[in-house]
Amino acid sequence: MKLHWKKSQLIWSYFFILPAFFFFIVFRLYPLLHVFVLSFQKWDIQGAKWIGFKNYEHLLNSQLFGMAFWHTLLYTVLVVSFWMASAFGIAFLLQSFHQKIKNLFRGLYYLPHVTGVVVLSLTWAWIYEPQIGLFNHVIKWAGGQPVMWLQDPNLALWSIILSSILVIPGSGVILYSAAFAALPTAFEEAAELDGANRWQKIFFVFLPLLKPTTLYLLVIYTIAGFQVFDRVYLMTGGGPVNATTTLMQLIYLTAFRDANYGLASAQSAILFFAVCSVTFLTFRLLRVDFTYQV
Amino acid sequence: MKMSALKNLFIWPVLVITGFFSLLPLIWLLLSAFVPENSLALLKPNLKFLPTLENFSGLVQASGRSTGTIQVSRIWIWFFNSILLAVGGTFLHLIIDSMAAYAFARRSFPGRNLLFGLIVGSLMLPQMVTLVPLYLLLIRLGINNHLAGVLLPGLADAIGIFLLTQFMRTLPIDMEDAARLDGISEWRLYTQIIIPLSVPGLTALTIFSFQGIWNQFVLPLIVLQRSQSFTLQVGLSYLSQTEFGFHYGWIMAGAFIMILPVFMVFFLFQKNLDKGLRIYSIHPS
Repeated sequence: MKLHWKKSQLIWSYFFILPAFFFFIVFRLYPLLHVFVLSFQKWDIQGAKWIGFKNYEHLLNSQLFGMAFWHTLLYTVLVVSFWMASAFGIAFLLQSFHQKIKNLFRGLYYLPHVTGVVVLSLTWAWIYEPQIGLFNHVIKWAGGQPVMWLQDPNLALWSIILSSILVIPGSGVILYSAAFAALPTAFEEAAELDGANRWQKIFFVFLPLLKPTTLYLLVIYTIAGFQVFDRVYLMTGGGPVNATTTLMQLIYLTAFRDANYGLASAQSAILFFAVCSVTFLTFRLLRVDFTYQV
Repeated sequence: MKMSALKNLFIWPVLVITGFFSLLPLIWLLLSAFVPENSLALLKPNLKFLPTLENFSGLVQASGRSTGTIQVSRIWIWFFNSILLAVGGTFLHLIIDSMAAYAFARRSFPGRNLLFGLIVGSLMLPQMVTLVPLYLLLIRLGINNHLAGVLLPGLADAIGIFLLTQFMRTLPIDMEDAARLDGISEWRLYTQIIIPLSVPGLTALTIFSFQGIWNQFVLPLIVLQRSQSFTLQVGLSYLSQTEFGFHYGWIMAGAFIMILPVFMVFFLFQKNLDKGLRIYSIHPS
């Protein structure tokens, strides 16, 4: 690293990062700061009014907000655990296969993610359709009673969760496969010499060594889980009777149906702190405290 | 248990079943898009499969005609809007991200690590919480209800800058030194030496940017209010919730149109994908 820089070189350096930072500051940083300001305001036709912590007080007593928070938490915990387990498990099982089969399956698991959540959600809504949808067709054909997948308030959230976990997270399978391939075989061989069985190898060799991949996936999946919106909006719209309302769905309705920007910002701020604390905890719990040399 | 026996009894079934359910939405989409609606309702195991384009013509007719000088089905307007956003956005990503990545990876200047840390750190923030202030900002800028209101916020592309910076760090350094000795200008060094060397990284970014912009939903949903400026995603979700919610055959025909461009990009560049994925975050769904 140089200790002093030539002025013209410096100007060039800042010139190269200028466009990126312009958009970054205007469309990311500024809105992020503004959301906290807005959360202390009330919006109506006359404009914005400062109302202190009233929005937050309102949310603390709001049953709907509590419900949305609970739905989001339930969705995130279940879906993320299942995604992590299936990504690790499938990458582990694929290990012993020939490279061609590995690539085939990895492509196959990744394919649905190319299409995006909108297409997947519209298709799942169709699969769950009560009269002529695929699932009820199969159930009727097998002699069972049709199920109101998305119309039954006790079932709708579970149907949305099911639609998320039945599609294996292709990104996780690919990242874990790459991480498995990059592991030195010495550790596995040493464990085998010590007589470790398959499960012992998974828990005491592979899982600890793959901690960086686990940390990364856990963080991005958790962040995505907390922000679940597209599939809720497209499959149920938060209904029936708020049975599937998640935080983002509630923020969407509060801001863009009711034009209550202050309250929606307070909801966003709480979502922000929830995600940040969970991310922080994940980093602390899965701190990578080893290096290995072979 | 022997490995081969284990494979046949346990591993293969697990892979095939999970693979089947992962692909189930896509398979069902393809079938539904090309089967006439009235046979969908009577689906039986021994149903004869006669592919038809009935659903597509139904979709094109029912989505209504656009107003204005060019009168075509709104589906094509939406398709055009989506293509415009995805191609234009990807192009701008390539320029803006590669400039920033070049500075972060190949140059040294005060504040470099801090600013790069900011970019990477922003990946850990839930993007959706800024939706409300972003919307108010777009109103003040006068670009709500306009494709620019979807395009511009997307140009703050932290993940693209991160990917390209990682890639450019692996380039050999002597090329630049030799070029500087020859007295080449900084701008030409970037356009004529760095960019050509970065083609593999830029290819990966092209795939992911196109896919990301094409599939985005929330921002266009709140920004675009007039049906003339909808993207395909917003338009189709609008149709599915209002005008012909019960015509699933038509919706699936629309979904088929929607996945064609990303699939084309996916299969064209599939070989580069694996490399890119390792350092690139994926849009989890």
